[in-house]
Amino acid sequence: MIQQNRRAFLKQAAMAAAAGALSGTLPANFNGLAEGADQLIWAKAPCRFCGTGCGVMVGVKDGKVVAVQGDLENPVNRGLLCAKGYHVGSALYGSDRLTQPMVRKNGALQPVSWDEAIDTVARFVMKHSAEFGVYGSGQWTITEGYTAMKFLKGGCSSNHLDPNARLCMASAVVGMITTYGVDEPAGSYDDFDECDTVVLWGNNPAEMHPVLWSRIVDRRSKGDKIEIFDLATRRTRSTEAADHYIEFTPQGDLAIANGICRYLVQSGKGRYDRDWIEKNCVFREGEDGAGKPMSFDDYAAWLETYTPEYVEKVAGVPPHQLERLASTFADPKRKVLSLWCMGMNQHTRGTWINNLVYNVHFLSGKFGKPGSTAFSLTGQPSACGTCREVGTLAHALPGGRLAANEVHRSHVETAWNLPSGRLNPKPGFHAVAMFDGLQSGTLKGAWVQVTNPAQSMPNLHKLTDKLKERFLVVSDIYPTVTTDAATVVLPSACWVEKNGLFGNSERRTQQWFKMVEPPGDARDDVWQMIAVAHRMYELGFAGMKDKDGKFLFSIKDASGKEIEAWKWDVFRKHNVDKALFEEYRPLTHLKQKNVAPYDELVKTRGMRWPVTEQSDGTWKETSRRFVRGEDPFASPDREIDFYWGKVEKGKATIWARPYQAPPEVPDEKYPFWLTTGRVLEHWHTGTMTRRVPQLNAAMPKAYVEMHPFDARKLNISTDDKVRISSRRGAIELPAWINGRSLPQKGLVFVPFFEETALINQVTLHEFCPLSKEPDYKKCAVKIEKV
Amino acid sequence: MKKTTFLCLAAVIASLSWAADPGKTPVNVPQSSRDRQFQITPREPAVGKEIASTRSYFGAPPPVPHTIQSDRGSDWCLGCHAKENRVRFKHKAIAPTPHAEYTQCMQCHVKRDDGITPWRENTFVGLDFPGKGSRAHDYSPPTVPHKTFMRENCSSCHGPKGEHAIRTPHPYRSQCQQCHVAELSQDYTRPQLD
Repeated sequence: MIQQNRRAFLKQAAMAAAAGALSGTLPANFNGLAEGADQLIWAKAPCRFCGTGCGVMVGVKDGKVVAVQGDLENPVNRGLLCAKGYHVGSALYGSDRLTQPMVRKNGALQPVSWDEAIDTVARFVMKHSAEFGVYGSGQWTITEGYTAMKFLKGGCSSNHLDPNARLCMASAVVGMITTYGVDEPAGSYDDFDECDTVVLWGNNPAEMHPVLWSRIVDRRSKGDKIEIFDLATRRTRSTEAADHYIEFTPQGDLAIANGICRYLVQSGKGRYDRDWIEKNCVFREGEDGAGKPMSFDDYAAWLETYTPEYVEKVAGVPPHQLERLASTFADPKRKVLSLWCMGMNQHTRGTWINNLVYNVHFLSGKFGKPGSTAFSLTGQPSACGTCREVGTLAHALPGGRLAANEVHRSHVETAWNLPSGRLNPKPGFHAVAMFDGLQSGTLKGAWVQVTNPAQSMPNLHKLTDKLKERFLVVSDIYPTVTTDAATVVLPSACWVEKNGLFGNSERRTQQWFKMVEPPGDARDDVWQMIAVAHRMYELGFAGMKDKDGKFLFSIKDASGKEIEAWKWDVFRKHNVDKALFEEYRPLTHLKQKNVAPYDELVKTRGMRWPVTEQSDGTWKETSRRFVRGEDPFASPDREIDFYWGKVEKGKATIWARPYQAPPEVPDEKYPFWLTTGRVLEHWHTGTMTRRVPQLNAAMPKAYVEMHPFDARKLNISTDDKVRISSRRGAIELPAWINGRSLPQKGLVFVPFFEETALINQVTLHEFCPLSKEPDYKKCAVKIEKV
Repeated sequence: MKKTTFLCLAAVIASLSWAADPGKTPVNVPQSSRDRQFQITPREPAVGKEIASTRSYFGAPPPVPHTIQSDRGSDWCLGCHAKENRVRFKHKAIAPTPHAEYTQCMQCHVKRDDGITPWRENTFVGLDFPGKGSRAHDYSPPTVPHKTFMRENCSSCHGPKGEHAIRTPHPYRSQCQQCHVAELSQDYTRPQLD
């Protein structure tokens, strides 16, 4: 039949075209290549946006993305996307994409050649390598983060490298490390399919992890009964699908969690899982990460502070609601899934509240069982895969290693063929400290990649007003408030314009191939850093040599031959991603975070680590860590084995962490709480999503939401201009009353996506002393009608 | 009384118009179908066409073209858009959702506001609508020229609410996929057999 032949011809032609245009990065028959009568090439990629990590099928025609569909074969989302995911292709096509490198000369950014841009950056870093920071991102691909680590830590012996994930997940990370000794969730999305009870701890998954929310809530369409508790400071879209709304005073979460623990351990009532506790937990008290030992009886006595009356006083939760929630945990038949994100992490006691939620699950024995787990949701697409696993943090090295640990440093020096002593043992500046350093001049410059700190840092006047005076290098895809302050702007490739890998919230590493060319002269972030490193090497900078005097970055092609990856026309012809990933992979074994081989990731819709090779040569992923029979590294002698338990091997720690008031509370002068956050339609600072017409039209402006009673007292109606001010700054916004969320009385909510309404000029930068993560969810403001 | 007369009248008129077209004689048209005025003759484009063209590309979720009761939740949507719960509004039917098992409607279907100028221009050109499905010969049922995932309820687009050009001439038949088969090449998720 003619149709059949034509189809076959078109398929061949498309493949040949693809191979030519994309310079061999797409092998001839890679997974997902299916060309339909519409002459589209479809290929898989994880979504560019949130930490859910939905599988997306990207439709490419004539070198452009023209459509996107949910990937039915991806177990994360099974074909469903959300409003951002369905428009992720459009995010590449804003007409003001950065396409030319630029350097600021006489106050204005001027286009320059790549050679000049690279040379300018290289010379500065060479001169000031100890006073130069790298500020990266949870939206960095795995290899971008790895390249930056090698560049700064291996090449410049500096630990001033920290990601925006510090502002997002640090409390969850330190929470897990202090609780069970190693980072990342023990459960997986499989638990979402099995639970019968969900507790939301100050998060709004209906807007922030929509596909995961649907995964739970749409089970009801099939007849599953799921009871949902929404613990929150305001009513949101998530409340609409919840059975119970438990409103609490900001920071009251610390008291609520302890209140539940008290209910569980009250003597004589036997509501806690004594057997599980004795086998799997130890108790500690203290404010820091070390603490000191505590007996169970001492812990039970310590909990006596958290009576229902105390919880009501501090958190505003009536006793009957606390009991309803606590008794659900006490019910041995229930399968309870706790979910949280920024409400618990962006918190001046973020590490503590993370510890406390694990306490609740341990005491009730609801951990490591199908449907029962405490699951930390990750915000960004690769905060796990890149920042946490590759260790792009001021104190870390790849694979869960610490810069301060001599043995860990020697592992990495060996892996990178560095002379002994090249890696710096002293932790560098975490995010807030880095920007503090740039503000004061302690740091003379920084390289920002894939993030927008001039909009997303807290207390912007204090931390970013002087950025323009420093040597700021910014790799981005669109002009932003950060590029406005930049000295050098490097146009970058985005998402499917480059090869990449992300790691999502459930430890699933996912891979994708480049499908379209970046616009103009935009180039991969990985290439940019290797090119600067090589320019420094050419100019004689010792750090960019390994211990044999060769260039630090040694990239080999498929046949094992070294390639000159710092040359763009060479870089783009090879799969540098695979080379770097395979170099990184062995480093993940130390803490049993074994990621799958690159080729396995190509064939699959990602794999959840630890991934281990079976006797028949296949690779097997892990759904639940620490659980006998599921985690290959768990001891067969125990039902659950916290094999990185710090205090006692095999055991997790239950921490006695107290309630502590936040540093700033409403008072007469500033009588309202301010909470900031996101909305469904926009990703972070809106640089991508605001350029999508459908998403912009759905949510064009930022606003301030407040309770209608408060609005009436101030004579404010929807669309009235309102001035919101704190001790740190003030902005003006329209009001939205009875809109998307209903804040509690005395609290207002503002989203941070609009660059002309910089709410972070108003927020404070105080952070959790253990995680260094600042609190965007609570500060004191006053509201005035303008 | 009035209603019964009307029904009889409608039935008579309906049977007359069907009798005029020998290829379309129904045998057992359900009572409920006779209540609805299925118009087989052409009429001006339905709102459906406008909605379809607001999609970013063929396959994208259309934005919501009307004001919504509450921005808070998706509970209200099914009041009008639940399957087989079509409501008459100004003589137009309302499309039932083609995928009722997904309950978080506003997760994908965001508000539409034609009055908002884009903040920055965007040059994205989305995949266009597929052409007609192929027919083996005249009168044979055309194949389905698009994937069926999330489009399990055909009448959502092809029923009385749908754009005229794709409105089915036989809405009283409910087992669409008995005759209209999918095209493998449109369904990228199925194994391609060559």
